[in-house]
Amino acid sequence: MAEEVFANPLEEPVDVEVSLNDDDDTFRTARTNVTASDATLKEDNVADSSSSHVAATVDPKEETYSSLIENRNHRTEEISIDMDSADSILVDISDALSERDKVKYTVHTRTRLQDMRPETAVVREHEEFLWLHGTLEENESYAGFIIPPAPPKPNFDSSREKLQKLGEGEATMTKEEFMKMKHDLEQDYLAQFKKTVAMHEVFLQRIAAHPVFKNDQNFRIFLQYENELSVRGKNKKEQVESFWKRFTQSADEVLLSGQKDVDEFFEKEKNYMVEYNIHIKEAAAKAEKVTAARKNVVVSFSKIGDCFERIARGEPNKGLARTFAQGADAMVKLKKVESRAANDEELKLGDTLHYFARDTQAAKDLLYRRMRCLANYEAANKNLERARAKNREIPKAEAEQAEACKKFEEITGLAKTELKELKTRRVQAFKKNLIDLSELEKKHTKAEISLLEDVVARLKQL
Amino acid sequence: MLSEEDVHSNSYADRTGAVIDRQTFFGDDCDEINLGNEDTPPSKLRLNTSTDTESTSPAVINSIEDHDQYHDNHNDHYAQISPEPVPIKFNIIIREFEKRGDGMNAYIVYKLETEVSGVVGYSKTHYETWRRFSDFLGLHGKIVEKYLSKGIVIPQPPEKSISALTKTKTNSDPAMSREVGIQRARHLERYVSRLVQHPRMRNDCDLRDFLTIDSDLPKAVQTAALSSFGVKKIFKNFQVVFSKMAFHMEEGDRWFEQVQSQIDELDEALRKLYTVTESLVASRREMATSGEQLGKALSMLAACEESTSLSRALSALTDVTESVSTAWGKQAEIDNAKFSEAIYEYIMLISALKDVFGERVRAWQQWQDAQQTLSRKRDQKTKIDLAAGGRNEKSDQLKAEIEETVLRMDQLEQHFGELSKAIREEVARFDTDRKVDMKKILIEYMESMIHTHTEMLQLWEKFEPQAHNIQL
Repeated sequence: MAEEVFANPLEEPVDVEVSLNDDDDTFRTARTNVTASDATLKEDNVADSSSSHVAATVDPKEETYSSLIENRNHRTEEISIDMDSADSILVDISDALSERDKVKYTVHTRTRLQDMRPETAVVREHEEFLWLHGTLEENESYAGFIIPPAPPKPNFDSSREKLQKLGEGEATMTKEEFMKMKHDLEQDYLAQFKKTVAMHEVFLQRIAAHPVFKNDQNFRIFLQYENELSVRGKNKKEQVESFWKRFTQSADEVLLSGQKDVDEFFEKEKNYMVEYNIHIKEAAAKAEKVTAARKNVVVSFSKIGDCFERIARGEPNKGLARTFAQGADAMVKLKKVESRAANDEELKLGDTLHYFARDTQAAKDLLYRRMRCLANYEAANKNLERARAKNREIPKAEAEQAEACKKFEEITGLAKTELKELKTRRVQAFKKNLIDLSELEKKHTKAEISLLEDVVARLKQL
Repeated sequence: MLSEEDVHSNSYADRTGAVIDRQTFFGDDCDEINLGNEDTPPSKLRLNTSTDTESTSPAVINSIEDHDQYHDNHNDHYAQISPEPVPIKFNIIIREFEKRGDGMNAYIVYKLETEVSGVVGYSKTHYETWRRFSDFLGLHGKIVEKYLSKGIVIPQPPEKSISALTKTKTNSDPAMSREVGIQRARHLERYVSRLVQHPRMRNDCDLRDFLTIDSDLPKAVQTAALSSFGVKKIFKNFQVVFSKMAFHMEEGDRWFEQVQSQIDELDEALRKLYTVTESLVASRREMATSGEQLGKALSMLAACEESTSLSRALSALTDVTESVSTAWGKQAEIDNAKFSEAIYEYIMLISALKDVFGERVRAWQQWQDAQQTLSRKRDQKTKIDLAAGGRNEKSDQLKAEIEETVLRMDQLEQHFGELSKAIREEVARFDTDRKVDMKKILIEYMESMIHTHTEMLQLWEKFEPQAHNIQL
């Protein structure tokens, strides 16, 4: 009797799962052979530059979920690099391997630049990305640029923990339950993983697309030095130092806030960035909370599905068992769509907000550096006046003043374009992501409606 | 009150000896049902025996219960042919409630609107009565007293809760007591609707009074203590466990065994489901509140955004987010009222079903008890007869006692048999109801989600052009 009851839901083609299988397998190898170096997670990466090509491949399959998942863009922002120009550097992360406590990214580079090898692939870890970011930030000659924010640390702890718990609970669960939970977790992990990879990639692409940063010596080393860069994570002392640096910076910011700015643009921009940063951070945090709650709903759906299935199995009345089996089926499908909706919402809204929260922070840092320069410049002016008054060391003071002035003007000029560019980039990215968001929400909602209508019709027929 | 004994006294004499025979016969019969499909009606044979006893009894319909039996019997025959009873309409809605009195004397009255037709004893088609919570409990007390021993599954009213009480009595926040009122009104509506769904309780005089008499009912004594119901229940449970230990009932009836284990399993599964639905409701509520906060944050962001068109899009997004949150909030309430609470009602019904099973065990124990007393008395009599070797005053007295015990034992056996039969009917009814209800719950729930999602689809569709309108 039981088989008969369950024949029904099983008969239906589970189209979505099929398309995900590929990902599953690669993931499984990545997880189970934690130490095996050949196990890699394929990030199918169509070169970003050929955006027209991407669009062409996506369009015909647009209607199916599978293609959307495969080609779903995990990037908040499109970085376009002109492939044909002679001095472009094309960077992508071709492979990523998840190990026990770190992720290894294979950074793949192609270029026609004379002083670089045409094609290389190196393995880099998150700490090395941080190192690269650090060197860019500390380089004084880049003070006038918005330094692309470092990618956030991969956070798989929660997924890992759950997987571990799942392993422990294996004995108490039925095989189906176990497989289902495992599948869910893997999906979760996979989504997280892909996103992390994408964020690291975007960081590199932004540098590669930048007219100045792309010639940075450290960046070149990062891309092409075959061996490990042997940068380790910050030790305690360095952590304290960096914390102290941040602290002095904010203290300095407070001190500098009294600084009168001759340039109205910057005066305005400074206030704006501070305010904007506060609001966007707030919005990002709230969006995260919404997504978290939505994911909990997904978990509940999945559990309700399990309960229905269990009731259906224990139910002697065939008709009722079929009703519950339908219910279980509906919940499982609903869970899938809802989970995708939650992930897309996170990707398109939450991540965009986070991304520009980090970017505005970088812009704020730039403004701080400029203010510092301005203060230095004014100090140099005063020094010069004092020197003139005392008639001592005038040439030295003059040189210093000229130096500070030049530096300030340089930074001001650069910062102005950088900030304007940030605004354009932001509007552009928001536009793209908001359009995507509304399309995806529409798509998922429609999918849910038709799914539910289908189930209701079938339930009524029973 | 015309008790069962009176009704059946006619038929005792010819069946006194056949106690054990009947027992096995009974068992066989049950096995037969067991093998068949669950949907098949109880076997004809069994039904005939029961109608026999009924037909030997005088069909005097002067008490409500007799009337019920009469009615019920007819229903039974009817049920053989089609599970749908005569078309009757009996709907009760609680749409309104109001608070009366002040301070410690404050209480909430609920307005019961009854639409009824085709039910004996109800002359009008529409009734409206105002009842307070303790009236419901009073009614429940009476119903339990009358029907539990007959093996009828009695739905359980919402329990008195201290928090609800204090919220009503102290009442600083009208919204709070409103919340309590709405939830309780829903529970009470479910409770009364369940009562009138039952073919036997539907015609109960107390229920009828409860639904039709316009004036206030005399205050129920039983509910005076805050949680007397709960305490009693705990005590009863304890009793059941205790008597189970003392007198383990060997289930001679495989049907009951099977049903009980099914019910236990269903109970467990439903309880698990209930906790999950509760967490679903909590997550949805969380979505609604965080969504609201997100809306606020986005509106701040929109206000400070430099690009006018992006700012406009963001404020449109704010609107969408807020409306979506409201929709999620509404869905959370539906999740709660239509899904979670419906599951909970079933959990309570199952517990009522278990009560009835307990009642059957008690009846069995009493019967066994009587049987033991009988054999003891018989032994005594034989001893005395042997010792005295003839007529003896004590022997005569024992003889009378034995006769009395036999009589009592028969009654008890009969009671047990009837109870078992009633329970079978109740379980069958429970099964049909469940089939209908669960389907209804699922369909209604899914439809509510369709509604919510449709609403959201419109919101996003409205938003989309705004996103496209962002000027670069």
